[in-house]
Amino acid sequence: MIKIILLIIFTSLFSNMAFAGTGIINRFNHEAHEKGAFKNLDFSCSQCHNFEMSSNNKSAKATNELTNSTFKTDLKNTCHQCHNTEDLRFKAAPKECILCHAKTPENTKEIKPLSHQNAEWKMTHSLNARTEGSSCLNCHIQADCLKCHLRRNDIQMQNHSRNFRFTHSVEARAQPHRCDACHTQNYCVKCHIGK
Amino acid sequence: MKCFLLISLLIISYKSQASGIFRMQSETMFSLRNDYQQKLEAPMYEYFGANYQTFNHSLTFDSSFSAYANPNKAGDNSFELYLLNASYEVIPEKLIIEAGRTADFAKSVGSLLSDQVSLKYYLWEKQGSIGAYYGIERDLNSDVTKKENDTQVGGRFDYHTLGTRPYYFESKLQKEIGDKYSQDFATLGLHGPLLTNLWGSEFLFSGEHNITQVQTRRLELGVDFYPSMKFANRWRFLSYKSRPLVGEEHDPIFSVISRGRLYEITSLIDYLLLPNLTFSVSLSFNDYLLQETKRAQGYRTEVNLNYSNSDLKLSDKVYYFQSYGGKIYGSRLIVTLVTFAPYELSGSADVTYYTKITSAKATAVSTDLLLGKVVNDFKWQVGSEFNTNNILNYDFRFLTKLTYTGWRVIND
Repeated sequence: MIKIILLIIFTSLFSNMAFAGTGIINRFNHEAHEKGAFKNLDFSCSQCHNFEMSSNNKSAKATNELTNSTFKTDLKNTCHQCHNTEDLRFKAAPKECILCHAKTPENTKEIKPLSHQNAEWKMTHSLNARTEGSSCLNCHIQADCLKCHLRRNDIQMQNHSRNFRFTHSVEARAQPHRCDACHTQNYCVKCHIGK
Repeated sequence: MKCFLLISLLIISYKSQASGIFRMQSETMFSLRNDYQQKLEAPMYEYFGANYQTFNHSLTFDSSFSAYANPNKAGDNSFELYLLNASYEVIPEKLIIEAGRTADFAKSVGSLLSDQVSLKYYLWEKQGSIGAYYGIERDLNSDVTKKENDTQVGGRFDYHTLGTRPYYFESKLQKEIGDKYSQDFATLGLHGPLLTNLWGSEFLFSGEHNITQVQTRRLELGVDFYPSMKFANRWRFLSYKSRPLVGEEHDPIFSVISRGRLYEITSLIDYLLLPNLTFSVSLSFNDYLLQETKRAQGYRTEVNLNYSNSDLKLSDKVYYFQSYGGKIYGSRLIVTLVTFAPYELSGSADVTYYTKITSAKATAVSTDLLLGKVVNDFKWQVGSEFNTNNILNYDFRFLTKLTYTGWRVIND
């Protein structure tokens, strides 16, 4: 028993040190989870850990895997089993990435998916938004869509570069569907007829 | 509108016991510049967006507002936008009702006011859903190019399979009723894995068909290949016929633009050279097959290099574009340095040479430099922009921008 307790203390300490760099473990409120989610979902310790508490909560019973880690899997998957899933049992678990991953909104850039860095993401993200739109809302709000799709502001150009004014006629002739994605034909007519 | 606001507030009050997250964004901009007549102007822009969503997503509330004002220049380029949307889960896991209003007072492109309401009913443990919607769009300063009222009513169905590589299906039937016309549309979409053993390939199909005119407006077929975790290759085949607003096309602009059916093939390649370095190539060829040759073909080529780490973001794009309207060559470089946080320095340079069918030849240069400082949820930027082109030889602009992005957990 003493070995197990020492092992738990050691591995917990080691685990916490490893996670401390991310800052995420520091934001995890074990007590609040126990009283709320774990109780409601009837979760035992072994849902996340490689041990189980005794019925009187005074001792822990280890599994063989405890020699490797106190957690059954890595921290990311431990959290994501409830917080990043479509499983309806965990509907009440917040899915908003920023709650754990960012101290300030500026930090959300650190968890920006790799797909968003692709040069073609701007052209291809509509499909993802249509089919997996709920996952977009984990980081984004509707205002993020509107910033490009429903506002016009020529103080700081966002969708087109300043030079686009001089070259758009060439592009519109060959790829009108790219214009159509945001503009109606009124947009052309207003300037080119002079109304 | 008042009724809608009241209902929204009641819903929020009723659900205020539920934990949720409240998020806000704001952008305030001010610029000092010369217009194209070399007269000094000082436009201002404010954008504000707010969202509240319960953690179980039973209630969502979105609002946005923006205003653009150019005091030295009356009329045409001032606009406002406001948007208010709310969704509420009437029957948990089953029935959702959404309602909202969008008003877009964009005077340069016409002012639109649209109201919409929709119902969504989940089927099969949320693997599928059926829904119906109704919307009405009003043109606030109606002219010959836009009908006064446009009603849209429709039904939709979607379904997806389970598993790590699910199939998605979506469909919609929509009726559009204007003052002088009525048209029916059908849209279909299908997306999913193609062959598991063939580089994790995926396919997509998307189409929009005008039932009334018996004409397919848009048909898109795509195949994506992922030979490795670092490599993505996408192919798109498109058939497209642009859609007049009310069955009318106005000269002179549409007399010089081909109105035939466009066919296009595009290949996109993304390759992760290093953990933070992505190389991309995009090639498009399009052809109005049934048009006269001189108005038929176009090419687009873009080569991108993106680098990003915690201190430096770099993006370089080289592009070439050709159509029967002319040729464009250009390069755009954007660099952002955050090595001396909380300050950041960003700059961009876009050099474009173009030659048009109208015999116009010129080089347009656009550059900007911004210094920013991040303090908690705020970012303040000041900078200047210099452009030179065939209209203005020397175009200096000064800009200041304050951005706020923040969130708070409610009733946690």
